[in-house]
Amino acid sequence: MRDEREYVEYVQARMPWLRRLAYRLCGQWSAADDLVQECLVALYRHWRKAAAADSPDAYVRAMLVHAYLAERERSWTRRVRLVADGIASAATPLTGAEHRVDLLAALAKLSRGQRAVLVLRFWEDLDVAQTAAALGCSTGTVKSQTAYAIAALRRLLPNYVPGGADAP
Amino acid sequence: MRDLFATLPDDPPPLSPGYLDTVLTRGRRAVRRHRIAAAAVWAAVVLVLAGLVVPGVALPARPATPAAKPGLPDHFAGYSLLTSTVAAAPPGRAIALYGYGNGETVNMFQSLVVGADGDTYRRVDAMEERDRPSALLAPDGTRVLLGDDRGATGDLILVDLITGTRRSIPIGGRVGVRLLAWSPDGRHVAYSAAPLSGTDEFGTVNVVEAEVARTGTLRLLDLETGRSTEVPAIRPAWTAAFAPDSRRIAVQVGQVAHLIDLDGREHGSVQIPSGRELAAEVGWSPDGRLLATVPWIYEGPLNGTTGGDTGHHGTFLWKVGDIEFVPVTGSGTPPAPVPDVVQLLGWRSMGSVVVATINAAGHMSMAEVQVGAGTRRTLSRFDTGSTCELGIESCQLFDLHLATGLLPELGVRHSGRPQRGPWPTLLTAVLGVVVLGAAFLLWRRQRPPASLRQHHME
Repeated sequence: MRDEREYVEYVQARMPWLRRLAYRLCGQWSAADDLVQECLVALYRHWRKAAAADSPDAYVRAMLVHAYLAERERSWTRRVRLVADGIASAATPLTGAEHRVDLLAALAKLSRGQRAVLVLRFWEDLDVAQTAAALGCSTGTVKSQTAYAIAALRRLLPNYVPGGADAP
Repeated sequence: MRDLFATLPDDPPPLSPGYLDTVLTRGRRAVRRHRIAAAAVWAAVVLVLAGLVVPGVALPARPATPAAKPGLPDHFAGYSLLTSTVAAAPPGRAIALYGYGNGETVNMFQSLVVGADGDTYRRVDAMEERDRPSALLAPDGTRVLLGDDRGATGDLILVDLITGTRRSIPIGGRVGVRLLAWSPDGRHVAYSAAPLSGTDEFGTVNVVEAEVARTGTLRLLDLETGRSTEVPAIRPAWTAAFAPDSRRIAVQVGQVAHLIDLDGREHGSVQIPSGRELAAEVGWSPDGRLLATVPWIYEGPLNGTTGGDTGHHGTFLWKVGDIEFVPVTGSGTPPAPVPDVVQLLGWRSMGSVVVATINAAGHMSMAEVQVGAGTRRTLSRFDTGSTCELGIESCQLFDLHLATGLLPELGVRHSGRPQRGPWPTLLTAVLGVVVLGAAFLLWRRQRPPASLRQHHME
């Protein structure tokens, strides 16, 4: 099974990146690993198409983001969430822990779409076009949703004064 | 914002053991399931298409092979828009010809025959093309003869139920016709004919029937030669019934049944009691001694100033009356009347008649009644449930005829699945498009979401 061998090689090489992206979207490692598994199972089915894509990473990223967004459409019985390693796990004493906890809590209050656009733009460092491609929407939607998400974050983090360029 | 996100650690913890193995196992299972589901979907599509196409194909006419004994189904099938036509798929000899349906909101009447040798139902398309005129079913059930309710006509149409073919029988000039009776030997048909004046009634329902009933002159058609012989003295002919020997016919004019031979010579007459009429088509008893009479539906035959309303033709069977018998020779005591009858349909023997009856709930059935004793046995029931006009109206019966020559040896069979013949081509095409569309949507759902899904981000 040449396809499966290539698939395994790809997954082994890209697993840390995928888990990290999933964690940034979900905010919990257990949920992130579940999301990655869903994505990888789907990738197994569509491996040939993904491998033949111009950028397999972009293809897989889009699959992961869509799997994350699709969870909001599933019935509530399938959306079982483990909370043991959620915000509480982020309370491990670290430098700047208060910002971390506040940001994670604030991100958890955003809609999945807004959270995804922030993660892709500012954590994954994608530009607007790449973010739009990953989300499957227009660049205009990315810009507007980014603005809404940042405004929401500012409301949720009133004590934080941003020092960098936040413009979408 | 990037600075803020940079404060978040995201070093992944160790993966659980066997994580990748689990992914591979689930991936292989997903592929298997997908292949099975795709195969099942396509198999279903192929089966559905086969189910659509096969009934839609006009197979060579294969009418039912005559059974040893003709039979009536114990239940007539309900209304269906999928019933094919005699021309598309000949049904073979029929035991019954009837009108079925309702026109309360939408005109959805059908002229149907049901097979004598199987549960074969067909629409008589020739009748539908001529606005469902008066029609007769041959005593042996192999042919249907019909006039034309669109107006005056120059021919009658003889439909062969064995081959599905039609034969035009010219009747001279264009006249309105009203078919009266078919001789037991199948050779002669009595009908009345009259020029249509195009009065105010023209354009309403059953206009030809009504006008010809008031003005029509008796004609006798020889089906072997195709020649019609007019009997000018018999006018206006109201109802008629052939004698069992097929050589004489009783025709009611006013309240008198004139007994004439096939040459038009009158050999006698019988007075029909006031308020009654000779039972149409089947009023002469098998032993030739009695005429059966039934009550008028409305006003009876034209008596010079009133009457002549043919409301019982083309309208629903509903009115309950009785059958009374009048001696043809004027001697002897007739049997006791048969009560609770909607229509006399024929004779199984001298002592037994087949009638249509209706119960208090409006359900129609056919029963065999012993003349004199009055004992009755239900032979068959009609479906008069709310299946007509797309399920919003009950189904009504009208213009009911049996193949009277088959009644003596008639059996009752357990009704099976109705054989309605190939579906209408248009319906088959529409359903084919729907199924293909559904298959396309299913196929689209199987595609990878990343290439298709457009998520809203709100």
